[in-house]
Amino acid sequence: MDTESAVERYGTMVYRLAYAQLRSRQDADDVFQEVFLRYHRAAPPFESEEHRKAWLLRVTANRANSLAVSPWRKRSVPLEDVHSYSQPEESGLDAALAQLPPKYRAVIHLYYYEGYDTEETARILGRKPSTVRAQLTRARQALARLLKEDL
Amino acid sequence: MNFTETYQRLNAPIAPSPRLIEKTLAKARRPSFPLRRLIGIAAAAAVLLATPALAAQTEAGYHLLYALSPAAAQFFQPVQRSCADNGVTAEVVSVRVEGDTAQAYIALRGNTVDANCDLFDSASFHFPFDQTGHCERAGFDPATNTALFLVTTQTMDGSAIPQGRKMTFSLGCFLSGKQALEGVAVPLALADHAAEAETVEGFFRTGGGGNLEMADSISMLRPGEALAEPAPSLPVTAAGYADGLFHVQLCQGNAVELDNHGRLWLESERGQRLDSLASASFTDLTEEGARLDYQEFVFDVEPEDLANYTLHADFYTASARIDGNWRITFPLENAA
Repeated sequence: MDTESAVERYGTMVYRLAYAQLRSRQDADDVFQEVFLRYHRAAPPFESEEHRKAWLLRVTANRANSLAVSPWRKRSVPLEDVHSYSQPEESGLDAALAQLPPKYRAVIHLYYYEGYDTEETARILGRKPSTVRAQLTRARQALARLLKEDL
Repeated sequence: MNFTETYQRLNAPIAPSPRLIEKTLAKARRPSFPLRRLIGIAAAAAVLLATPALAAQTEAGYHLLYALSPAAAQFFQPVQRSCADNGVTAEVVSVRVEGDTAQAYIALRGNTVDANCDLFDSASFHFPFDQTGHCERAGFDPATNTALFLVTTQTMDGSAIPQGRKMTFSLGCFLSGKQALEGVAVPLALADHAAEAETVEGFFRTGGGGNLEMADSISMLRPGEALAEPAPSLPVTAAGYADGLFHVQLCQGNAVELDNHGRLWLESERGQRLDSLASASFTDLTEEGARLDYQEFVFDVEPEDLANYTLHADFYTASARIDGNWRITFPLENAA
C-alpha cells in the first residue's frame, strides 16, 4: 500500500492515538508526519492489513512517547487546544484524561477506542500483558476518582 | 456516563487537517534515495570545482532567532557558522543534541530567499545512523532577506547522537516562490469532454492514491495541448472518459524539480463536493530528454451529469529551485 493510501486509510487512527498521548495538536502533527515519512521510507513488508495497522500504531505510540519525555518538550509549554463539546460529560472526561500520564492514555485509547484487548495492546505497545492490565486498572481507578464514578 | 461512548464522541473531531496531510504527502512524494544519491554525487563533484566561502561568527540569523524565540536561543548551543554558495549564505545558528535527537536553527540569507522558501528535504546532519526528520519554517526577516528554519532529526533506532565531537550539516537545494492556491475554480467546461478519450501506454507509473486497486489500473489519457492553466505551470492537458470513468489530467512539468502538484475535485451546482475515486501519477521523458510528470484523477460521474459539475482544485507550486553545496562543520559541546 503506498503512503497516500496508508494516510487515507490510517491517518485519522494515527493522529488520534498521537493526540490521545500528547494532548496537543501541534505535537500530534509532528508525530503524524514522522510516522508516515517513516512508513514511506522504511516500512517493513507486512503479512496482513492487521500487521500494517499494528505497526503504524506501535510507531505512533513510540514516537509520541519519545516526544512526551523529551527534555525540550518538558521545558516548553504547549499551547492549549480549544475544544467544543457536544455533551457536558465530555469536558469532564477530557479534563480527567489530561491528568493521566501519557502511557496510561495510550492504553486507554487502544482498549476503549481501537477495541484491542490487553494482550493485543501489550503487543502493540511493546509492554508485558501484565503491565498493560495493571496500567489499565490504574488508569480506570484514576479516572473514576477524577470523575467520581465507577467505570 | 457510558465511558466508551463518551470517549468515542470526544475523539470524533480529532483528525489530521487537510493541510497536514498535504504537507506530509508532499514530503513523501519527493524523490528519495536514488535521486538524492545523484544529487549527492553532483554536490561532491561541485566541491572539487568550487570551495564555498566559509565564515565564522555571523550575526543576522542569531539576531532573528533571538527576536523570534529568546527561549530557544537560550536552550540551544550557539554555533553561528556559515557557508556561502550560489549567492546564498546558509548559517547554522544554534544547535541542541539530546539523546537520539538533534535540532538546529538554520538561517538562509540572499536575494533568492523569501518568506515561503522550502528546504525541499535536502537538509541533513551527517552521522552514522539511519535517521528521520523534518523541517519547519520558524521566521523571516524581510530587512535582511533571512529565513530561519528549525531542522529536527532523530535516529531511527534510538541510538544516542555522540557529543563532544564535530557535526556536519549540509543542504543541497531549496525552493523559492512557493505558493498555495487553494479552492481554485478551474475554467474548463466539463460537458465538452463527455466523449471517450484516447489513452496512451508507455508512461512509467510513479504512484497513486485513493482506491488502491483502481489507482493501479487507471489508464492514462493521451496528453494534449493545455485545456486550461489554472495555476502557473500546472495545465490541464486532457479530460474525457476511459474505462467508464471521467478522467482529468494535470501536467506537473518536472515534478522533482519544483514539486508542483495539485488535487482536483468536482462540485455540483448545489456545492456538493465529489472527490476522485483514485488518482495515479505518471512520468516520461520528452524527445529532448526533459522529464514530464502527470497526475490523472478519475471520477465516478455519468457523462450526462457533467454539465451539473464544475472542476475545483488546490495547487502547490514553486517558481525556482536554487541548488548549491552548503556544508558546515561545527563542534558539539557536551551537554551540561
